Amino acid sequence: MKLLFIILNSAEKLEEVLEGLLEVGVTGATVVDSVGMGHIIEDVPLFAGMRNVFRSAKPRNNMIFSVISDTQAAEAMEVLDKILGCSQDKGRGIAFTLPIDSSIGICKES
Amino acid sequence: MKLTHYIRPDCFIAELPEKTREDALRRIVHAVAEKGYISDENAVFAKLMERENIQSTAVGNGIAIPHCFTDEVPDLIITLARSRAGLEFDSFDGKPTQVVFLLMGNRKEHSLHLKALARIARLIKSTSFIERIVASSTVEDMVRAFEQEEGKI
Repeated sequence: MKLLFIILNSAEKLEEVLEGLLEVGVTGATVVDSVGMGHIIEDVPLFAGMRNVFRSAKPRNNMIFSVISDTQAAEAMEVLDKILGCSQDKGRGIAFTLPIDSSIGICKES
Repeated sequence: MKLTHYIRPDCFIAELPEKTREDALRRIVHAVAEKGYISDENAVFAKLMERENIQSTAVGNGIAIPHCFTDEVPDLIITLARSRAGLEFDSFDGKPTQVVFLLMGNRKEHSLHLKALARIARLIKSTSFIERIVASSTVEDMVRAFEQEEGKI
C-alpha cells in the first residue's frame, strides 16, 4: 500500500487530476483547499519588493491524498506525469508516493 | 485502459440526419444492433433514455456521452456519431450537440465503465479531439483522430 500525495499549484487542474485517478481505479481521495507559501509571504511587508519571486503563487491550490495499492500507485504516477508534467516555466504541481508501514481502518475491497 | 480497445468503428456514424436526442439515440443503437453487437435494441434504448431522464449526458461544448449498463453486451462497447448541424440534446449550456459518444457496459463491469467515462472526460478537455472529429470527412478520419488524440493523454 502507498500514500499518494498530490499538491496542485493551480486548482484549474483539479478536475482533470481526479478524472485521471478514476481512470486507474482510484475511486476515493481526500481533497483539501490549501494556500501556497508564496501567496502568504508576498503580503508580508518585508518581502513586498520580491513579489516577482512569488509570481506563480495562486490564490488557491489543492492537496489530494489517497491510500492506494502498489499497482494503482504506478499507474497513477504515469497518468499524473501526463497531466502535471513540467511546463517550460513552472510545474503545475507535484505528486509523490510514500510506503505505508501500518494502518488501521483500511478495509480490503470485496 | 485505452478507449481505442473498446471502440467499434464499424458502428461509427459520420453524419446523423436526426435533430433530436431520442431519434439520434435510436439511430445509433440501431447501427450497433445491425452489426450484431446487441440483439434487443429497444431494451438498450430504454436504458439509455432512463439515464438521460435522470440528467442529460450532454456535457456542453457540443458533446454528449450517453451511457448505460445492459446485459446485452459482455464487455464495454463505445461508438461515436457526429452531427455537423447539431442535435437538440438538452445540453446544460444550451448549445447543440455535434459529437455523441455512446457507451454500453455490462453491469458487472462498473469499474471499467467508470474508467472509460473518466478517460473520455480527459480526452475531450485536454486535446483537440472534438475539433478534429467535427472536421473529419469520413469515418476513417474519425477513427484516426480518435487514435492519435488518445495517444496524447
